[in-house]
Amino acid sequence: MKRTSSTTYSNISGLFAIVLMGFPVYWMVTTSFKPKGDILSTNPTIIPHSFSISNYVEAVTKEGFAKALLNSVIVVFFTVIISIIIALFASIAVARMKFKGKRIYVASILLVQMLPLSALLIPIYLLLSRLNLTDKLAGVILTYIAFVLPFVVWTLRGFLVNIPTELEEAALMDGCTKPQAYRRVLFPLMAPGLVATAIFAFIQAWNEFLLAYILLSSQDKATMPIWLAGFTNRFGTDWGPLMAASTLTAIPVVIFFSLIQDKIATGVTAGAVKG
Amino acid sequence: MRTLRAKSIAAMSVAALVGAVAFTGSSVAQAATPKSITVWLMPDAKDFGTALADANAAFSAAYPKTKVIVEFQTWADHLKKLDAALVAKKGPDVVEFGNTEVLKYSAAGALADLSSYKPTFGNSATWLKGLEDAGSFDGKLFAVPYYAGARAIMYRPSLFKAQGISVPKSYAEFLSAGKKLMNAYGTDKDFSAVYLPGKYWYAAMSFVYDEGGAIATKSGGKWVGSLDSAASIRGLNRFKEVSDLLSKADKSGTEAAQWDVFNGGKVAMSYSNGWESCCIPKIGTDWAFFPMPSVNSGKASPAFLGGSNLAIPSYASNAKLAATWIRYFTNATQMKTIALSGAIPNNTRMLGLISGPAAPVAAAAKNSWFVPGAVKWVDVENANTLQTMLSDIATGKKTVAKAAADASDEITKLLN
Amino acid sequence: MARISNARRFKPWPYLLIAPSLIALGLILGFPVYKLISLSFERYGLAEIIAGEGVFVGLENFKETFTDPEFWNILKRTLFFTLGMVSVSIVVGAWLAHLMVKMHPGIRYVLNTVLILVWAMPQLVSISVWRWIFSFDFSIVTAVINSMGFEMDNHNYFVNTFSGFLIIGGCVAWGALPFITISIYAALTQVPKDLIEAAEIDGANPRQVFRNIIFPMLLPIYIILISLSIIWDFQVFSHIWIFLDSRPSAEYYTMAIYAFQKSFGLSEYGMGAAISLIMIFALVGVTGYYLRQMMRMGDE
Repeated sequence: MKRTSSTTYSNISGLFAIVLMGFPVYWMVTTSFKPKGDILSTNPTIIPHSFSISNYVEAVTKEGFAKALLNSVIVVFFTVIISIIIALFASIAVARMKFKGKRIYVASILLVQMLPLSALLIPIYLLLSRLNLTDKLAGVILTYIAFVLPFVVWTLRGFLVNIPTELEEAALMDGCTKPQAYRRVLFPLMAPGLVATAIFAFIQAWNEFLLAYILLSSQDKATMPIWLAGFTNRFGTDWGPLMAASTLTAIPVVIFFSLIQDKIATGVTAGAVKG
Repeated sequence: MRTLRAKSIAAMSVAALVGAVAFTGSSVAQAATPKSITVWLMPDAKDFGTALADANAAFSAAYPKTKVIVEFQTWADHLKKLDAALVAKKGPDVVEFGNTEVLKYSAAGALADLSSYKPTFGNSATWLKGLEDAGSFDGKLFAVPYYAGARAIMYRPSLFKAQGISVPKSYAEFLSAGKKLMNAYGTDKDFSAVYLPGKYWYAAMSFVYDEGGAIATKSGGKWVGSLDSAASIRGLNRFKEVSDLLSKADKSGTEAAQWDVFNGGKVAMSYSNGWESCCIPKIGTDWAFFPMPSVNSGKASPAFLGGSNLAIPSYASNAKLAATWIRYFTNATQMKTIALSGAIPNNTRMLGLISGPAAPVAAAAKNSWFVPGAVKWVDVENANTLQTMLSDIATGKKTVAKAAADASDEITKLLN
Repeated sequence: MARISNARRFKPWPYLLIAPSLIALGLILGFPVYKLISLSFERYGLAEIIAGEGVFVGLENFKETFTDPEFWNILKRTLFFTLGMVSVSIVVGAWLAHLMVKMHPGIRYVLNTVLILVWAMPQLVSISVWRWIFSFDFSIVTAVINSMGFEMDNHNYFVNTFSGFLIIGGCVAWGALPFITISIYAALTQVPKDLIEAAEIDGANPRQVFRNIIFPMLLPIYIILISLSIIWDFQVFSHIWIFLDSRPSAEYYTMAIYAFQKSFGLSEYGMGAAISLIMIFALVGVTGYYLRQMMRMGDE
């Protein structure tokens, strides 16, 4: 009895949250379908009364869309993969091992998290320009990795410490090597945490504008946010195509993550039952 | 086995990182042969028809060995990128600046002195004064006038016709036209005869300069805020009058989206850029411009001259070639294309090329005002001194005299 | 057991494991951080950039900041603003995450999708949409109130700084919710169901289950989320900047806006570096408790 009432409450609150959280998203999507003169209407209505796909046509046919999409995919892919791998190693050390200098390592990771990006812009540019890494996607990827790493290390560690050491120890006693124990026991249990952090790293890299803008200069190196900024000139922003492009770029992100989120959630419960 | 593999993966990723550095660290700056010059322009250049393509084609024909690379920047962040390039002493050879942005860079020695090239630039004898002043410092030319923007009153001829109003020739006529419109349509609580947001300082200062006032004046090497002078206060009173009687715009707001409001159909007049007519599809063709009338009948009040200049950073080793490119991009041929696309060309000689309903805007560029040429002017903009003063006046939070005196003191303090 | 036997000899494993992260961080951030610190003691404006070197001024930048009467107001304002945003986003995020566990899977799926969508919106776009919703001329909020029969005039929600910060803070919290909710939800799914069931069979009531099983498992994630939220919210810049038309008035200045105006607005990068360091110190102070917790956790 109690369970049903709390489920009902959860469902109603969930719907409420969907409406409230989703309204700005809804507004972006409906705006993307409004013809030019209706976008900033002095008489707005919740249900749009005009419909046009001209913004989408304009966005997709604007020079550089495909290239920017590709660049962003490359940057995001390497940032996420490399930072997750590096951070996974580090988080295992921090969560599972004792070693000298751990305190200093932990402290420095935390401090890095606090560095304001804008204050480091110019020194980073200077460094990468000396390394000849400006105007290269590799330079952006390296910088993104440095900026998301502390976060990823910390969050993964947070998910790792939740997993009882007994599980690995049992695996070790069964004759597994340590890496085997990690791979077979730890990683499946860490999956939700890995997904949450991967989404984080993904979206940071996907949406970051300022660093990419400062570090990249050729038009054919532009990432999506830089390309999106091209809809703004000195007089203002061309909202229609910008909203259309933003909607388009959000779709693959959502599809991709709802897929892996589902897969991993089932994988976890399966693993937990077995364990 | 497994241990070994994990170990080698770790080792590999380290090696990859180190290797990446070692590999790229070796090739340092190239020799100074100008295989290419890099030009930073704002996206606005894409709206200027074929001007850019034509200039590049002509340049390439004359200098086939040098490739022109155009990179488009964003208004919000281009100066950060420029500062970074200045620190690294390597970056673009030509940079577009908004005309209010240049002075700081000219004064700091960040830009190459172009005075000796001046006669080679097209129409340099008839450059718009506002743009030339913006690009000059200490009697030297640092940034070449590129194009300008000016403002005039955009209005709805149909409403004027319905009320039997003709285009006003003086401030007094302007005011009475506005009152007539308010009487006719003012029952709609959102209707503005003149849409004038409280923080619209380009509009307010035009009233001030029209009355003979100024934001600040230089006397004896020192800048003095002069918004509290009798003439300036007369101008601010005009602003207050229009805001109180004719405008339903946000008294604490900016003009940032005024064409969208105009598009909503409840505005009869607004102080607009020439290009704003592009973005009012619901109004259709029911729009036209007239110059903002002066208190002196028959004259126009001075308009703020916005615009852009082109400069060459001081580190550029190809300054001469870069100046040549600027010459190609700002010559009479390209200026004509720019003018025909609706922007205001960089010289008074060609203003007549803009015809049709936007012609009054081009005419407004002849009689213009510009921000004080003080190196520290940017401090005043950052402090929002003028916007604060104006919204205090518009909302009635302070009297005109008090607000002007406070702002004047602050300006004096900030500029010196 | 394994630990004790291993502790005797030098173990290269932990060092090998943290080495890649140290290399990546050191490589990219080592020099910039050094530069940040050295710049804070220099006058480094455009003229110095052109000259190629800054002028050493000792503690002048710090002194100038600390003697600016506005600075302390700004710091206080930033702290209050941060506190508000962090508590709202953590409380609501936790509430949502706990609901998600019990929700109908279909609703959960939609909510998850909405959260990801919110997250995936480019910042400029999401803030601009919020700004329209609460703008003077184009506000859907005002329009809806009017359509319900109330006669509401166009309203500038930002004249009153309280309602202004409420809207800006709401937008920040809204943007932070996806990450917080998804992380807490992920942590909740880690809690073994059989453990809870076993406890329930043993007669534990929901509160006891929460306190003895769920809460300890969630604590590390909460501490991480709270301290990260503090760090991020303290540095909020774009929201205020875009909401207020790139021209925030003095009563909307926060530390990030202040640092920006001093460094990029005036190209005084020495000043900017000093303010950034002060911000880091302030952050260390504010997050001190959580940091100690995290250090302890990292140390155990």
